[in-house]
Amino acid sequence: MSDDCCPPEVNVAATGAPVVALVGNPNAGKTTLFNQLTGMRAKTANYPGTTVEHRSGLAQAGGRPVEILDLPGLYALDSASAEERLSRDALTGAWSRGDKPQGAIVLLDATNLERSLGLVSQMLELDIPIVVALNMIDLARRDGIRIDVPRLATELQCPVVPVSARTGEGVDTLREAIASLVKRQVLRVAKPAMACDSCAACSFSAHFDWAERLTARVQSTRRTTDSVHSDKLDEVLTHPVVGPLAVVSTLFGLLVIVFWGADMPMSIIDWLFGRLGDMADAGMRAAAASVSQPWLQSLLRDDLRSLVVRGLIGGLGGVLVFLPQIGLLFFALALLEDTGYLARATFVVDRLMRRVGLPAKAFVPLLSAHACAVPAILSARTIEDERDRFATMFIAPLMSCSARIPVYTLVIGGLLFPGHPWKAAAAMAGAYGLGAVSALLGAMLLRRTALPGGPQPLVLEMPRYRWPSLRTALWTAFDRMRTFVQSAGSLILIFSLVLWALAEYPRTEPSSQVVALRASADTLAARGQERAATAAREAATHLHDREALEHSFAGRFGHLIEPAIAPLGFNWQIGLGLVSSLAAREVIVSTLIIVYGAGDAISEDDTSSLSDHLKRARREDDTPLFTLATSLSLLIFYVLALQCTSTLAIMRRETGSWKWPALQFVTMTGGAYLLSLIVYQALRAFGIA
Amino acid sequence: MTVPITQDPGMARLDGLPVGTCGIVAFLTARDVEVLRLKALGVCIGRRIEVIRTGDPLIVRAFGTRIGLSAQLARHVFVDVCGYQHPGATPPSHRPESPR
Repeated sequence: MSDDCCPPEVNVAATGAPVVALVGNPNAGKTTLFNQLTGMRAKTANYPGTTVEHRSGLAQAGGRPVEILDLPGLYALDSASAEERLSRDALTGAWSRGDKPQGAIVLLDATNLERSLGLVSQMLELDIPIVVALNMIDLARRDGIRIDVPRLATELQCPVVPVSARTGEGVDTLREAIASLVKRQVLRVAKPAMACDSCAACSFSAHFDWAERLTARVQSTRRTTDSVHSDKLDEVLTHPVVGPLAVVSTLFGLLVIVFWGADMPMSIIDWLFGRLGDMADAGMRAAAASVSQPWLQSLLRDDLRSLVVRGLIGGLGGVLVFLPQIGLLFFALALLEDTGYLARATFVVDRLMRRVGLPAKAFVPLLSAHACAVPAILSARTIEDERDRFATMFIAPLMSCSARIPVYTLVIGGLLFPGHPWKAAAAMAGAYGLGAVSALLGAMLLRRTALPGGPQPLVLEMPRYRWPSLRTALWTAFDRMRTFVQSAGSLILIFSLVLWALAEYPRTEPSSQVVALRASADTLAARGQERAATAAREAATHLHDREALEHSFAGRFGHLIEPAIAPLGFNWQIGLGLVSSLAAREVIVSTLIIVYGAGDAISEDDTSSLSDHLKRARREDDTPLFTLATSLSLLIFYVLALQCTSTLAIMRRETGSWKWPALQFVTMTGGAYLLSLIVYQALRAFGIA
Repeated sequence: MTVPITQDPGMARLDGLPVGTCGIVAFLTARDVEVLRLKALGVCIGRRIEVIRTGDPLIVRAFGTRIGLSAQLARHVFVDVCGYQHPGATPPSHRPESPR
C-alpha cells in the first residue's frame, strides 16, 4: 500500500480524526504512554461481537487530533490468544469496515530491546507505516544500556523516538512523529531480511534471530546490577516456602488496606446520600405544602417523594458506595503489578490453583471478591482463556464479601454467640472458610461439568522489579471506577428502583392503631408534653412502616415463599428479609429492624439492641424464632446464596448473556438452600432446636 | 510420552534439568495453542534457554527475560544441553554434556 499517487482507504474515527494504533509487549508501559498521549480522555468499547475491551482516545499531534487505538499487550501477532487475534484483525482492517489504521506506534522496552524487536519484525510485515517509541529510555540509561537510536532508525527505516512514558520525556517528539505518520510522510515500509538457521522449525525463530542480530548492531551494554538484584529477589520471592508466605502476607496486607482505607470514604458517601435524601425529603414536603391541588400534593408528598428519596437517591448511593473499595483495590493491585511482584505471586500460587481447576491468575479476582464480587468479576479480565475466566467469575461471589459482614455480625455476634468473643471469632472464621471452600469445590465441580477441562498451563513473563508509578496506578483506579459506574451502574440502579417499588407498593392506609397513636401524639403535644408526643409519633411511623412493608409486594412475596423456606426454619418475615437482600445483602438488617424492632430508635450499628429484640421474636405458635438451628441455617444461607443483583448485572455484562448469571443464581442459591435445610433439619432431629 | 530422540546423550526434557543448565530448544510436543504461547515468549526451536528455578512451576530465562512455566508444559520441551552456568549446579551423571 502507501503508493504515492493514490492514498489507500484510511480508517477515520467517528470524530473525523485519523486512527493510529498503539502496539507493544505487555509490561512495556503501554497504558502509561496511552495516558500520556491522550490525557486520560479515553473511551472504552468492546471489539465487535466480543466482550474483549479496547480503549481509544484523542491525542493532539502536530496541531490536529489523532485517535489513538490502544490494542491489548501482545508478544506476537500470530499467537493463539483471542486478544492477539483481535489485535491482528484491528491492524489489518478485518473489523471496522475493512479500513485499517493509518499507522501504528510500536512501543519498545529499551531495557529489553531484543524481545521488543521480535514484535517490530512482525509489524513490519503487516504493511502499515510505523513509528517506534523506545520507552523506558531513562531506565536503560541508568542501567548502562546504550542504544544507537539513529542506527536503529536506519535499520528499521522508520522514525525511532526515545521516550519515557513515566516522566514524559520525549513524548512531544513522539507527537511530531505521529503527526508526520498521519501526514503520510512515513511511507516506506521496510521488510526485514529474515535469514535464519532454523526457519523450517519455528516461524518465530526468524523474527527472534533477526531481533537478536539487530540488537547486537545497535546496542552496547555493560553488565548491570539490576538484573542481578532481580535474580536475588526472585530467589526469595519464588522460594517454595518463603514464596507462599510472602504471598499470604502481601494479600492479607492488601485486603486490610482496602477495608481500612475504604471505610471512611464509604461512610462519607453514605452520609452524603443520607443528607441529600433528607434535603430532598424536606424540599418535597415544602413543595407539597405550597401547592393547592390535592392530587399534586399527595403525589409530591407520597409517591414522588419516596421515589426520589428512597428509590433514586438511595439506589444511587447504593451504587456509588462501592466506589472507594473498587478504586482502592485496583489502585493497590496496579501498584503491585507495576513493581513486577504480581507476576511472582501468580507464579507461586499456580500449583494450588491448578489443583482445583483454576488458572494461577484467578487468585487476584478471588482475593478481590473478599471486598466485593463486582470488582472481582471485572478483574478476571486478565485471564486469557475464556473457560478459565468464566470458571473464576462463576465462583468469585462465594467468597465472603464486605456486604455480608453486617449480617455475619448480627447472626454470630447477636444471635449465636453473644458474649462469647472466642466462639464468635471462630464462627466468623468458619463462615469465611465455608465460602472459600465451597468456591474451590465449586470450581472443581464446574471443571467436570459446564466448563470441562483443566486450566491453561502457566506461561508467564516475569518482568524486572521496578518502582511503581503512582500516576499509572491512579489512572487505572480511576478507569476501573469509571467502567463500573458506566457499565454496571445503570443496571444496578434499575434493579434498586424495581426493589424499591416492590417494597413500596401497593400502598396501605394507616391502620386504626396507627391513627390512634397519631391522635394521642397530637393530644400530648397540645398538653405541652413534647417528649412523649415525639415518642408516640415515632411509634406511629414505625408501626405504619411495618404495616406498609407487610402489605407491599415484597411482603406478599415473603408470605408466598414461606412454605418453601419453612423447612429451613424461616418464617415469612425472614422471607421478606431475603427478598429485600436482593438490593444488597446488608439490607436484611434494616428490614429486621422494621419488622421486629419495637419502635424505639434502633440504629443499624447497634447490633446488641437489635439482637435483644430478635431474641424475643416468636413464631405464630409462640415458640422462639431465632433458635440455634434457625440462626445457623440463616448464617449458612447468607454465606452461600447469590443474593446480589449487582453481581448478576456485572456477570451479564462480562459474559454477554443472561445464561451464566442465571446458572450462577440457581446453583449458588440452590446449594445454600440444601445445606441450610440439612443443617436445620439435622439439628432439630437431634433435639437442638 | 515416549520420544525415541531422548536417547540422544545431549537431549533432555526441560522439567528434568538442574538449575543453571542451558540448552538449545530442540523440539516441542505440546498442543498447538500452548506451543504458540511458548514460542511467542522465546521458548522456540533453535533458541537458547537457561534454567533459573526447578520445580513446578519452574523458571527459565529465554530471550532476555525470566519466564515462569508449569512443569506440565516443560515436559513437552526438549533441549540440547549445552552447558552448566550455575556454579552450584552439577551435571547429572547419566546425561553427559553435549559437545556443542
